[in-house]
Amino acid sequence: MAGSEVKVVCATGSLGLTPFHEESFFASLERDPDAIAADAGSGDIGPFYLGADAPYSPREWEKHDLELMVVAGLERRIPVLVGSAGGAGTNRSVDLYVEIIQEIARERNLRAFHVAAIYAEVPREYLRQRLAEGTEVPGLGPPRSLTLEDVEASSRIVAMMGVEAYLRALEMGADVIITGRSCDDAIFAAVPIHRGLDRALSLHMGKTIECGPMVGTPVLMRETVMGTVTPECFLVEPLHPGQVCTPASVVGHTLYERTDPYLQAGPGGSLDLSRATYVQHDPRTTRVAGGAYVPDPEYRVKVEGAGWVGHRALVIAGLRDRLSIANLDKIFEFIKAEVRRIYHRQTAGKDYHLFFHVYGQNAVMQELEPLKHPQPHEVGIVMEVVSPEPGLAEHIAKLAKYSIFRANYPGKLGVAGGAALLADEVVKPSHDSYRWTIDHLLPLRDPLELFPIRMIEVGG
Amino acid sequence: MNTVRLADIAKEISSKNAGNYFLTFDIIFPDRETYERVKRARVLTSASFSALYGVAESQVLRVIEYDPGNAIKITMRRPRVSGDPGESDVFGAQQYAPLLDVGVPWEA
Repeated sequence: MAGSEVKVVCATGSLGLTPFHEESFFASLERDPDAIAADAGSGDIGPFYLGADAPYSPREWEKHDLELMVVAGLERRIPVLVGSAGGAGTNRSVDLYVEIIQEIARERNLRAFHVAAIYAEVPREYLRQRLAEGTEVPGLGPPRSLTLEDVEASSRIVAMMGVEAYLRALEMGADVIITGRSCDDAIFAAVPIHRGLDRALSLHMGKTIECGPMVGTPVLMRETVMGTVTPECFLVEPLHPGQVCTPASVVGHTLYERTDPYLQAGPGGSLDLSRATYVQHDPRTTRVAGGAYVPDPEYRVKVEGAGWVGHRALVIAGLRDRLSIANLDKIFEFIKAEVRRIYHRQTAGKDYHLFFHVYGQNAVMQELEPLKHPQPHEVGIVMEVVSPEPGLAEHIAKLAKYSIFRANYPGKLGVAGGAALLADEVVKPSHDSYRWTIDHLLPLRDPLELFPIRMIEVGG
Repeated sequence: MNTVRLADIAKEISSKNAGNYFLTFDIIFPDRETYERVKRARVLTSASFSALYGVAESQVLRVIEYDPGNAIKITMRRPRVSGDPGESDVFGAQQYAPLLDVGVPWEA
């Protein structure tokens, strides 16, 4: 069996989110790993980063993590794989990571090596054509298929690549692989599959270690874990001495951020985990087996799109007067009426959106809040205005701020001023508002057709 | 019969996005016995869950009793898509709160 197992290091549960702890990473290198990998992305981070093509983490933090991984990988002559560069996995983020690696190579005088940049952005024109050909693109999130309007409303679109793109890059001789939007399990499964190990075990291992130390107990953040795939099973082990992997911690993680712990859907097929077994292998390590790969009749990738909604402006105010708290509905009606009076040519819900978030009442759960009549002694109110028209969000926010100060309601005593303003000025985030526009499953004729690979020689 | 609250007997109660259009709730129990007692009590069903959250039962897509994990997993459609204008919990990370106080009939 020796020689036929493949050890994959997950350096950190999220590359660049905060710089990872170096001790457990260096400990993993003592174990003679076969690959070093990390996921940099998430679809949870909201539509802004994709829509605006904005970086999620500071460049310095990303460089910290990349430098440790790339230098260690080159020293040991083992592949380094990073998926979903920059958070949203846009082309710019892939190029940024390549640029950071070039910088590291210069600063550290690294030997010559090959970086494969694999892109994942989907041109709108490509989707227009596929729709024109009559391709059915079923909704994964939205309960309806993709329309041309969804495509046109998208500022930026990415597809999530499967393991095939990584396998191709490994075949091409890549030492480092930087990808755009990617399935997280594929980043870790690529090298074991490339070495001929079982696809189901490799993908299940990938899904198990992709969040790093979240798979262990107690839960730590930004520590290194290792997954070892053998012909019969895989082992998962944390490298931080204060952490262990138990069947309970590993099984618990199968629930995380997914709808079905028995089924892990991916491009080209699903992993059926209903017969998976989890046993304690040694005091720190859990042994997993039994996942089965079930191929789909067609190869489909998840496509994500985010679209610009408008500029955003906020007013943050507090109410401490129980009379005003009891009359919030009337106060909000007053504000909306004032906005309509001044901006009667604009339509609420189209030209602008005005939201009242009442912290202390139902701001967090909104329509899901079961507590219908809370009696807080004070409330925090965020008035949020979004509008595509230049300047309008700010002006309406200003009007809302003035109106909450002056709103009348029965029995008002605090006539000098009706709200504690955190700031008299409107808060204007430098970030615009975006929304998810596409969350669909696109059939592909070729698993690589959306994921061009660029090989770059670096260092030397 | 006494009643205990989920917060008193669960090891983990949490919510998170499962994709941007769904919320998934995980209630994990410390051992098989506690898990089986909650299962038998039938307090976490799509009917009870939709009533607690004030949504139509059709919005509660899955209730999975996950024996290997001593866990009950519930997935619902988000009333607002994550990050939409006006939406206020991008990660869906605080939506589990009402589950803490769900009562479970409990024999001593």
